[in-house]
Amino acid sequence: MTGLDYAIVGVFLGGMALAGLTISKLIKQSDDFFVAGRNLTPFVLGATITATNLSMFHFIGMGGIGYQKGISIIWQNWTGCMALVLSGIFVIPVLRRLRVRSVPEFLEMRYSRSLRVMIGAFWGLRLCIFLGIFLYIAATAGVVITGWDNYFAWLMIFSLIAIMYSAIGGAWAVAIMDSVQFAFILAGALITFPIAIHLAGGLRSLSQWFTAHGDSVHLQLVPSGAGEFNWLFILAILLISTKWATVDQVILQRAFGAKNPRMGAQGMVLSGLITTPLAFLWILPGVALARIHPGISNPDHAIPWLLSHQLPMFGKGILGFVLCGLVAAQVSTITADINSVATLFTSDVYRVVRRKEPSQRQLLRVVRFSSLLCGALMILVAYGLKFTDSGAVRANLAVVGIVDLPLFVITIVFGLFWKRTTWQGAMAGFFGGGALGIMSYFVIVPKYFDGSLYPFLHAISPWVAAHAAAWHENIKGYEKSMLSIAPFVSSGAAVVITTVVSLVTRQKNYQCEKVWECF
Amino acid sequence: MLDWGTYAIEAVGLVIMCVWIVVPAREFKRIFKSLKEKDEGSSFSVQRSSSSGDAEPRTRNEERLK
Repeated sequence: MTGLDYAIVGVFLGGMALAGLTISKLIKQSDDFFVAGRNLTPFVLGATITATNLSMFHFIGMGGIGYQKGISIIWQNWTGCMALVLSGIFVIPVLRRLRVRSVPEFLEMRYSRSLRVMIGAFWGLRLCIFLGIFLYIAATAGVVITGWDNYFAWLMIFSLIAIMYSAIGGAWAVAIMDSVQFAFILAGALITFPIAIHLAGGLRSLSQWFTAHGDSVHLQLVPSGAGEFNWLFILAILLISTKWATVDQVILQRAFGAKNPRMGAQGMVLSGLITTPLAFLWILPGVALARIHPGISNPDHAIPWLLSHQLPMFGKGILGFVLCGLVAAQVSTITADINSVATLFTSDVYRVVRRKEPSQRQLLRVVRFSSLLCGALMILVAYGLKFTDSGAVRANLAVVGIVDLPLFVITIVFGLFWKRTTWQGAMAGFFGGGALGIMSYFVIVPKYFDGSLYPFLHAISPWVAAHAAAWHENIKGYEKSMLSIAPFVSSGAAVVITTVVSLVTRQKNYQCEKVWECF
Repeated sequence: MLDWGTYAIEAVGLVIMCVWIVVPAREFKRIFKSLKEKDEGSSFSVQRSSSSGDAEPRTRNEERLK
């Protein structure tokens, strides 16, 4: 990296900090901080949702998986786009009409106050972990690209400006800066993409090279056989994406900032439509790199290598400009997430637990403090991740798939479509589904494949153990892809538990007619 | 060496980038103008209540009627 590159990134970071401070003047009451005063229009929403969605996880993490496994990881993006469009048409208008600020607030309307507080606190913590993963990717990329091996310093560089301007400027800062950052993200991707394809000799030549080297799976959208990202993965990720677009606080909160339900829906649909073709811009450079420079063992290091070793050859300052796009992607995601955690903590935990209604000034003080607290937790998680060896994409999928799906089940499936569901059923389904999902991912599936589960199964019934062993023989080679069943286990368990508990319990005198009126 | 596939992806990306620079800039301009007018208006008159007819529709039927 040259001095010019550092100067470009420095000016960009300074500009963002300054803009955050200026925008803070727009914050007069808590709704301005949480949902930008509900003033946002479709194209602004399209930009802010897309910029929130895109982060270094896409450019570095998914590009890296494209490098290692091939183009099929694009389904993670595409299923998300489909889900955004569906959610914009069917779910967002209902939630927006209810004028809620968060999913837990909807859960209070639908089920009970205690469920709101519990899920608000839980979801806030889960978002901090998620943010830690994003920060880890950014800091790793910083180390690889610049060669300055100070992981902690990179954590600070990426997080401090984001924490500062989201704590001061709230949802207004997020919306305005996201629109600017979206342009930078796209510009960066539009520079990197043709350079990578050019270095690989063009798309046709790349395809011929993979075929000649017996690695045509790299360019198969749906790989056949036992690949990690086969049809089972696509189905699992479709389920997770549906959850993400319908209950993810970070995405929904942007849509809740819409001027009216119709504009919220339009913003979501626009975001889904534009991200679909753009996904090629961050997956294909990774795929091309498999030809340019094979042999990188950690997939998270592949795209940083491309940026640091190839981009400077095409002109001075190009790397600096592309890095601005990457920093923009990262900061837009971090700020939106911090804003959401602050909303959850203030609106769903502090405001509900406190018996007396706080003043607007007190609320703003608490929301800013919780933004800072979230930032500190995020740095802590990212620091801890340095000592793990799993790729960031897999860590992300494990957390999202297992913990989040039961929330989708109780909020959308039961919350909107089955009036008989009780708060006891919803709570049992959420925690029971999550617990079983975690067990299947970390205990049941691995222990089944290494054989250590058989004595336990034999103790239950020799017949069950014999059949389990026979099935193991049939699916040998599919060990890794079987981990994709964890999201189905957690959501399936949530469905069964919620149904059973709701049928044996009764919700007394709870008024949720308001919810049905909004259909 | 670039081929038509690369050019097509690049062109779609460029169009989206241009549209998303121009349109949000106009929309923000409009939002800030209306916020400014609202601020000036509120210093002269009592804040409007939700029954003034400007309130947001709460149900699908209200939305249709509006």
